[in-house]
Amino acid sequence: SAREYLNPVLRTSKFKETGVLTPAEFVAAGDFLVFKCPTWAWAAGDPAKARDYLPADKQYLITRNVPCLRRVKAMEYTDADADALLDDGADADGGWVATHQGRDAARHPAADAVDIDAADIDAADRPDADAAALAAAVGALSVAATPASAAQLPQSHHPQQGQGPDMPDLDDMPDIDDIPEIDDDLVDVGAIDEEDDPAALSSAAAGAASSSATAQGDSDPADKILKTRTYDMSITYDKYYQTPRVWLFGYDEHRRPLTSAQVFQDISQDHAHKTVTIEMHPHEGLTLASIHPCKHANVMKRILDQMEESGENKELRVDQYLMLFLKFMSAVLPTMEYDYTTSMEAA
Amino acid sequence: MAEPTLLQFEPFQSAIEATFWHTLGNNKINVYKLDDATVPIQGFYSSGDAFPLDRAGSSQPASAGGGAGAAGTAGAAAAPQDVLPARLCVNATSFSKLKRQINSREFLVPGTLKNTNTIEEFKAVDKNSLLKTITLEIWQDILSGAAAQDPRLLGRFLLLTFADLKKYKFYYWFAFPAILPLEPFKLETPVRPLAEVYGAESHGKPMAGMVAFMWGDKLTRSFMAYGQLDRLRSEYERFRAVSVSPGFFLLKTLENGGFAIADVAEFGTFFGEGQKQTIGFVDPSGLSENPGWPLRNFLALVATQWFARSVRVVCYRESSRRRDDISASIVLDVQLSAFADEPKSVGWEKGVQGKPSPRVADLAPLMDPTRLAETAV
Repeated sequence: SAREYLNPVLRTSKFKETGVLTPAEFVAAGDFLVFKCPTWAWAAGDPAKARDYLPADKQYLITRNVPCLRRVKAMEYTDADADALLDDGADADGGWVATHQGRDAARHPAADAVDIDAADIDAADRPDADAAALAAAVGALSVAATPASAAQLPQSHHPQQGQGPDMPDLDDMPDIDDIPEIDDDLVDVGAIDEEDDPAALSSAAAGAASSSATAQGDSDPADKILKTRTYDMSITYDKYYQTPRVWLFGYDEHRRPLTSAQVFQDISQDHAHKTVTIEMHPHEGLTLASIHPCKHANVMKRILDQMEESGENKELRVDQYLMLFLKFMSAVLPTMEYDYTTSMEAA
Repeated sequence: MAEPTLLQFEPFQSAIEATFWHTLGNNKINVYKLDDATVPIQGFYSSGDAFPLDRAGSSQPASAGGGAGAAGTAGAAAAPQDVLPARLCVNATSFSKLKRQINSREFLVPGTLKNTNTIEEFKAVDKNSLLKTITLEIWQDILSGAAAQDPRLLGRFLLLTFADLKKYKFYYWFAFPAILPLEPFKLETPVRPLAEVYGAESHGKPMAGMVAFMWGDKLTRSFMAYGQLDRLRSEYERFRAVSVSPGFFLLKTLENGGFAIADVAEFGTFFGEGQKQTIGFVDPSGLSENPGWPLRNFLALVATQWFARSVRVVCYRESSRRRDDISASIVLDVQLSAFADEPKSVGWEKGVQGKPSPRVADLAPLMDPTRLAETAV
């Protein structure tokens, strides 16, 4: 975008002060992530779209085939559940997201209206309250949970329902079942004349025609192959916001691309409504769902501060930034099983 | 069971990234135009991995145990985890020339793209003869020794496509040809975890883990297993850094308890007198009882080129979560059989319904400018 184009490249390190990264720091943090979490890799992307402030072969980071077993949208939270999750903050592992709040708001138009009134402030101020809540929550995950920071969560206020006219209405989402199983065009594709192949493990046959298969034994190994949605997740460097930015491309259990509406089912409903946009990927010719980075620096700054205050981590190095960043992202994408495994202590 | 068990392989599942379609569309317009001759492409796969379900907290309960050394013999309840499908991926980089990737965890495979101009041609094209052509190429490479020099050639795949660029719909059908032996291969012994086979074989020098002997036999053994696997892994890392096709290798144990790994081409001279001929490959499957698809043609090579009738196979699996964890690897003892002079093959990918059939990817929501305008900010 023009805005990004005009914004000068950040040259001096400011990550401790403001939570932003220089391109060189992004590369260093990316190298560290790739080293620590082998599922992540650097990608060059479309050479025509390469940014000259990043190395040609290190334009963005990608991890492929990330399983996503459940729909956030389908997760039912009772208050008891939420309390329980908040109580043992350190173990909650992303489960703390107070998803039910967003759902309630969506169900009750009245509440929604109040929220919008409250949100009638300058857009630039909006991120703060939310960022604070996120920072507190992520802090509670990675550092020892303090009762105070955990307690903030249930009350955290999200005043910006309904902004972003580009958001698909969740009610308009097509049911996955509506999508036809096979394309009518492909009914007649010519005969395939193949030998019987008993040496091929067949997963689909196990369910349908299984008279001979069941005779063999109790459990069919093919049943262990996960049939689930997967995501290709990439992290680019956003020159304007000077932070990493996450992009998602989803596939259903049959490896068919997901629509944006379906992708929205896998994003914490809080964030799906306000921080996720569909935009052109900066290095590929595709439009993808992206977590908008306007609040990232803010949240990262808070997380860094909290970690420093806790004193458990002596000195946080800039190359650890992306590990922390992904931990923070797991709040937005609670059901995606991407890799940010290594604990910061081990780093 | 007196009857030896049939060795079954987990088929590849194709995984096309959207960037592949984007590049194909550009090439179609700017390069191929109406030319529908086949084009060389490449795909890649990575090592299979178990997926721990406990973190996902879903259906199957994650019970205790598991990990290295846990018995996973046939019939017994295997480790309580699911696996991700063995995937062969193509993306925008698939149109570049096949070259060596250094120290990568992605293993390249050459393939052939056949892009048709119309949906009618896509349907009408003779799929049997397409598959046969690729099969013959693989078979020729086996007979000529080319595949021994570069075993990646064994993995040749076929991708038939039709790109409807007006509607942003992409029709495709993968084939992963596997050359069929006259008789299917059998397992001589139940499938075992890597640690059970190589961890137990201790030779000569005590390792650091040996101090554990006073903690009881079981613990000692698992410590030793860890030490041994680590030696195997570091030997493999050395090999990966130097080999042209690090996805396939030969393995032997040394007098001092260490391991040696070499290129497949050395099969004739690598193994000592009476030593178990052991081959290895990076296994895209994560199943505890089954190897992945690349082993099929690898076994065909070994049976045809060196007349092996029985081999041990190390299905090498690196954890996606930890660089130094290969404990999901399994070991097979396989009884091979002969091949016809002009062997048959299989390999068309099954469709959504479990029968061989093409697939379609609808990318209009992601690529169509009119649809994009609706979602633009």
